[in-house]
Amino acid sequence: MVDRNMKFAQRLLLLAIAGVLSLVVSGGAIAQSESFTIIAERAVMPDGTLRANVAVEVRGGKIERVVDADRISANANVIRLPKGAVLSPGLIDLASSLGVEGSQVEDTKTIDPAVEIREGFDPRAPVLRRALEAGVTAAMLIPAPANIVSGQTFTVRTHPSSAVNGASSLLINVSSGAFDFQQGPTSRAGLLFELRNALKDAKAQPANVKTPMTLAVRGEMPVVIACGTVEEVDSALMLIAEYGLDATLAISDAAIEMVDDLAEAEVPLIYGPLDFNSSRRSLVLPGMLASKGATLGFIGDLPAREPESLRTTAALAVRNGLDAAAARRALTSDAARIAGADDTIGAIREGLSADFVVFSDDPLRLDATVLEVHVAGQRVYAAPHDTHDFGGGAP
Amino acid sequence: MCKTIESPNRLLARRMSGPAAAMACAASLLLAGGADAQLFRPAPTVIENARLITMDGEVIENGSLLILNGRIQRVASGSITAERATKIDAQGMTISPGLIDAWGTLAFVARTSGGNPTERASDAFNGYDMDAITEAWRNGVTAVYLPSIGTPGVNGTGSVMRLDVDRKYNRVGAVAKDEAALHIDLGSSLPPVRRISNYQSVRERLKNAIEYRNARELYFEEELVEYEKKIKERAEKEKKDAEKKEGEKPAPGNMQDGGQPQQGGQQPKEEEIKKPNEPAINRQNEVLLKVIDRELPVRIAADRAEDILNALALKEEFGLTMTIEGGAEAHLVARQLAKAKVPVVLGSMVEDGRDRDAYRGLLEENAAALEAAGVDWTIGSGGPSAFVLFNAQLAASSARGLDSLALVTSHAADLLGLSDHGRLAPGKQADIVFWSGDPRDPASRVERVFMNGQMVFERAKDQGGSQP
Repeated sequence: MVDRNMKFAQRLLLLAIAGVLSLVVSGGAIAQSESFTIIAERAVMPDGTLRANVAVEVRGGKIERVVDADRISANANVIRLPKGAVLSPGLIDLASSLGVEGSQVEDTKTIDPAVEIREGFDPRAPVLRRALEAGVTAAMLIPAPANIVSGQTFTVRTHPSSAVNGASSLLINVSSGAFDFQQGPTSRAGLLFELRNALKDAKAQPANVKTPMTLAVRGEMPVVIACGTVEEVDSALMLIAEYGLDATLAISDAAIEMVDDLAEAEVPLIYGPLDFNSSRRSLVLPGMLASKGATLGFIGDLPAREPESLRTTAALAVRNGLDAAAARRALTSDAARIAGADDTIGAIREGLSADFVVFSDDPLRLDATVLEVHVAGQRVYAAPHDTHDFGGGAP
Repeated sequence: MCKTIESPNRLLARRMSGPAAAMACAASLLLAGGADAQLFRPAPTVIENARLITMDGEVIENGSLLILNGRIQRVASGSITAERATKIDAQGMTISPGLIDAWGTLAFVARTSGGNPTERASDAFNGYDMDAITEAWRNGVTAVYLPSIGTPGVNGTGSVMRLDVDRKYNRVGAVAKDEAALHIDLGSSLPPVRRISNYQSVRERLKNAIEYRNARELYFEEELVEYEKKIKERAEKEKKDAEKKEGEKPAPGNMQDGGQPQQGGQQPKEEEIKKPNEPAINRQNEVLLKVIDRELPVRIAADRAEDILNALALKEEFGLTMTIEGGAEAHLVARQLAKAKVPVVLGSMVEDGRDRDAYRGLLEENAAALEAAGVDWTIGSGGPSAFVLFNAQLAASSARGLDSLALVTSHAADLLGLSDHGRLAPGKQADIVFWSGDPRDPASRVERVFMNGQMVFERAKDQGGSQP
């Protein structure tokens, strides 16, 4: 780990130097100026499709306008992306623990809505830099779902200079992961009994009481419900209906038995990661859900896995039936909505922050590489031109 | 069944599928010039209206393939006319050579007991595991190099399996190359002391094999020769003595007096000539000797840089032909690998729970460093094979300008020594894949897979289940 961190630090330093040099040499005015336009052969649109010849005007770190490239006058402050490159919003990992060191489990109480994962977040953690360079510009951090109510999620950028002001969600867990043989519950019935009591109590509170639980039962604070088995998905859907929760479900491949129910409930879903050893039913599930109209976001399981895990999950889902546009949405705009940050990030759309990733090709293609990363209109990463020199092999 | 076929490789002949064998029969009749030959002559297949990714440096936009006897006969732009040909309209689909997983455990039954070089990976292939095999076809994979996985140290030999349908036994799997390489695991996941002792035990086994051969040679070239010489000498001597006796017989006067001393003189000479013990044949050592004689290459499973260096030392010490498998830290010793001309088959780029922190560096950088140093390398799935192209894409992404598809077709074939695979070219085996679009685009689907020129998988009929 230390070695890797050192490597990142070195690379960061090199990049910083390279960045300064390039600014000096090639007129840094473009990268630094308040207002500029990026022209791309192809760009990922909010609906997940690839649009050709797009010009994105950026002012003060925000996207001012998205227009056809031929409408841009020749004298505008223009950055033209390399041939074949695709301009994409930054990718978003849902259910991440990026930058949260140590345990994310607070197991002194089984219902603990006050725990805020943001308090455990280190914006300088080197894993964030690695994620950023792989095009993952934001992540929804979640407390480990070890309790019935484990606390609040928090959506962060992976670039330390700016945090996303996304709203938190409350993390509820109806799976057996919340069983606790010391404090209880030890069964699903017991778990639901305790959870319902807590939700009922919250509902009975007067309107001026604003706790995470009361906000949740009033539909003013979103919740993420972790559910594994078919029965747990069923319980989650029941609770959503009973209490009118603004919920997202974190599901497993067992949900394949509940595809119609999930689509009908119109609940956004978070799912993943997929890898090269995933079972067929895991692989086909996203395609089945999306074809019924469900909204999806992906879990890349960062930093336990490499950040490429997020795009690999999307590519595997696409190869196994998920529509390509739905997959790109699941990586960007739909993920932003689930993370409660769609008013700031997740799409190339007027008014949102200029957080971009320049890929050498369609981000769904695993041989596409990250060429550049921009956060709030600033280029924070550019791939080295010579990726071949790693200095290895000194005899 | 035609009984006149004399295949040089009986195993292959036995595994040859029914129709293929019938074709071979018909072909032999044709060669024999029989009057009825025309009747049995196999009809060629022409696949037209296809985008052909030949892997020979060109993409033919509107091309055709002529297939005869399971082999590609012609690759052409436009159409091909052939007498009595069955025509298949590819409807603009893309055709590539079947993907080759240079290191996979597809439909692999189990690890072997380990330590036994006579075990063959092909025997651990389960040709009835249709779930795994169909999943491989679904993703365009037609051949896999199966390693011999056992315990750290010397294991068995690896095999290349083609995912062809064996219609006689209603299963899948044709051995394309058996006993392809001897597997030695340097145990990169072991704690340091055990890794050292493991490496020493590998050296010991190779040395023991040499000693075994020396003992056998000593026996056959010296001990046995000596023994035979002695036997011969005695036989000659006995013969001489007998002749002498014979000559002495006519002198009866000597019989009583001279008989005694003569007998007394013969007795000490009759000491037992002991036959030397033949050192028993040891089949395991026989395999190891093939390795030492470079008749059989070795595949060394090594992830850590120091284990890779140990592997190179083994190559030096015993003069082995070697490929490194895994090579998580190969980038750290890329120059040494290039200098020793040792190829590397990298493993999966996305970990699944493995503690990657145990190894230094990122796998994605690995490929780029090997490429830059001029090491001959490719990537295998290291797992169930289906997504080996995705693995290759991740690897190619860090070494710009590399074609991920080449890594798992032409290049994998070259590295594995499969001269008739990996390209769409005359003479190559017709193991081909029809794609709805570019294979590198995840939205593309495998529409059909042809093995040996015959369709074994069709997406339109794929129920997602376990039937081929």
